Amino acid sequence: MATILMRLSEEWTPRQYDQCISLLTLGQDRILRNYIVNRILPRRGSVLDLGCGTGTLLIEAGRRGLRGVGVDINKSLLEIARNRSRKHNLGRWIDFRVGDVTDLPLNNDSFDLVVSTLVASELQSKDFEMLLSEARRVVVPGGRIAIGAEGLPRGRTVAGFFSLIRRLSFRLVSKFSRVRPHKVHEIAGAMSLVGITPKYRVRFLGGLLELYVAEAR
Amino acid sequence: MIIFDYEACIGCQDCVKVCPRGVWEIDAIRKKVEIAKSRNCIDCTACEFQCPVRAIRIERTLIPKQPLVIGRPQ
Amino acid sequence: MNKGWKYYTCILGAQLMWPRLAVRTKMGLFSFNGADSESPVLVTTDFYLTVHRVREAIQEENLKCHLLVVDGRGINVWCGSRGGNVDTDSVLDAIDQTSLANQVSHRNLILPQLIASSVSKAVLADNGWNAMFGPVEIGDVGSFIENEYEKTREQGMVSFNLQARLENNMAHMVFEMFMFLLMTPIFWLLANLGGPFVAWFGYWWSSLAYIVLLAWMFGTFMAIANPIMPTTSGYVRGLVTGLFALLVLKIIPVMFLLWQSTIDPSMIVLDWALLDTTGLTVLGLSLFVGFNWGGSTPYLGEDQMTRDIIAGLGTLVLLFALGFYFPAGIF
Repeated sequence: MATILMRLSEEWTPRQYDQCISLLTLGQDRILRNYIVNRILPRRGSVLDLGCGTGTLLIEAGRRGLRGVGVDINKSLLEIARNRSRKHNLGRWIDFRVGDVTDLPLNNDSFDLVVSTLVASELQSKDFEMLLSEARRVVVPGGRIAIGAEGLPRGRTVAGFFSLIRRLSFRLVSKFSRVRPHKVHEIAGAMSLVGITPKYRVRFLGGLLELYVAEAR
Repeated sequence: MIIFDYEACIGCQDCVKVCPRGVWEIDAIRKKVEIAKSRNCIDCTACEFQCPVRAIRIERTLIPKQPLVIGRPQ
Repeated sequence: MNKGWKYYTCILGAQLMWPRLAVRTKMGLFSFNGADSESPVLVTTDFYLTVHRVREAIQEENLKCHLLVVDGRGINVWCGSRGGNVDTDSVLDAIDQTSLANQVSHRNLILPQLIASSVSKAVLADNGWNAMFGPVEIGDVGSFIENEYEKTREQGMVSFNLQARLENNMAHMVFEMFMFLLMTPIFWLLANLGGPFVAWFGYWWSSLAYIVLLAWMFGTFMAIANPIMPTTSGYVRGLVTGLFALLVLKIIPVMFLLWQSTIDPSMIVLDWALLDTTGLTVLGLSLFVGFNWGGSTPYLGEDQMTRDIIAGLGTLVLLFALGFYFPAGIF
């Protein structure tokens, strides 16, 4: 549900994108990001952000001395990311590239950490699996993969309720937008399918946002 | 608030040369800088901006906080 | 050096705290005292007053050098750098447009130290330029060059000597007088609405001269007492000054009465009721002057500024909530 409006907000001014995301996820996007920055980022090394948007996560990584690459399909968001990076003098640390997160122009075993927040929800199952396999390909052995995505709250009634709302919202929005409906991914299962072992999961907003952290063998 | 990664510091003294308040000082023996006068800091972030190894980070806090030094051997 | 209309417009703008009056110099390369291709290159931003002062210093020391004026949106170096108005790209742009590479045989640049918040030495190096951060004050550039591009620790730190503080105070006082004059017709208009506003305006009008005089006294006091102030916070300085002023205003009459041996107990009680109308005016004014003052010293950090703003607004809200208005004409 948040994803639909997220997709729409990308078609609005990219500058308001960040504010929209904050609003839609009720500020949890920042909490998710802070969690990754404070608990998941390695001390030094390299990080890849798939669907990096305006680069907030990577800038925090760069400020901590990590090298990073951000990939996103949206050029205007990347432009904002580059400007922000320049303001922090992180041009030699963070690189932003336009690209498809399911097919990365990157070498194998090049990153200590691969993250993707709130992008997975926008992809169809097959594309999501491709993203995961790409993540597995480019991460170093022993490196980590962190996927943040929409989840479903605990409790069957609440979950059912949210599922219904989601389906209705998609039906409504698909009438005047190119947004396609999708289901919530079973992330743990998809990861195992691609050969990644999920280590643990963190829930935010009562389960509406989830972060899966896995280690690549 | 100053967050200083002692381990990453290479002793280039760029921060010493750009700080307008004399916060940083070089420890010539250990070839690392140290925070000599943290209370002088005015959050101008020149040191963070210039540091070639990103060993310095300036965080905005509402309450004055002591600098945090990480990576320092005990 | 010739001080034309541009100089005085900038000064007026500084006095009135009105950035719009900042005159901009054109971006470009200037050469002084027969500078050649070996001479050092100084860099600065395009605020006319800045360029004027730099040129003055160059002439005074008879420096044989070039000056690269960079597009900084007409703002002085430090504010411009911190505000992101001048960055590495601005410098590279100026180098490009003036074809600096063809004008000098070396690749050294002397950047003002206070531009270090937004201009990267590393990126300039990537583009083939060896950038050095010179001293804070332009007056020290001569000795910096003579010392083989080394500066002393003092030359790398901002200072705020008495003369600078008094000049700063002058700018503040002009600005505040201007504001007080502006507030008079506003209060007068409000007075036409009746109610407590009538008393406000009455109090304001009768005390205006007194308020202006007090503001001058507070500002000058803060300028002179700057080194002994316990904190960089403008708000706290205002508080300290105000309480000190209150004590002086209250103690002196009591001392006088003691000396005259005409003490009446009720008089003492009245005089020690510090927060009466006069007391509040003195305290409020002192906080106001202090607050303005703090922000214009080079020692106030950004976090401290935020704390000051919160404290200032908080005090205002608190006073209004408690029923105190400034000026407290309703008493």
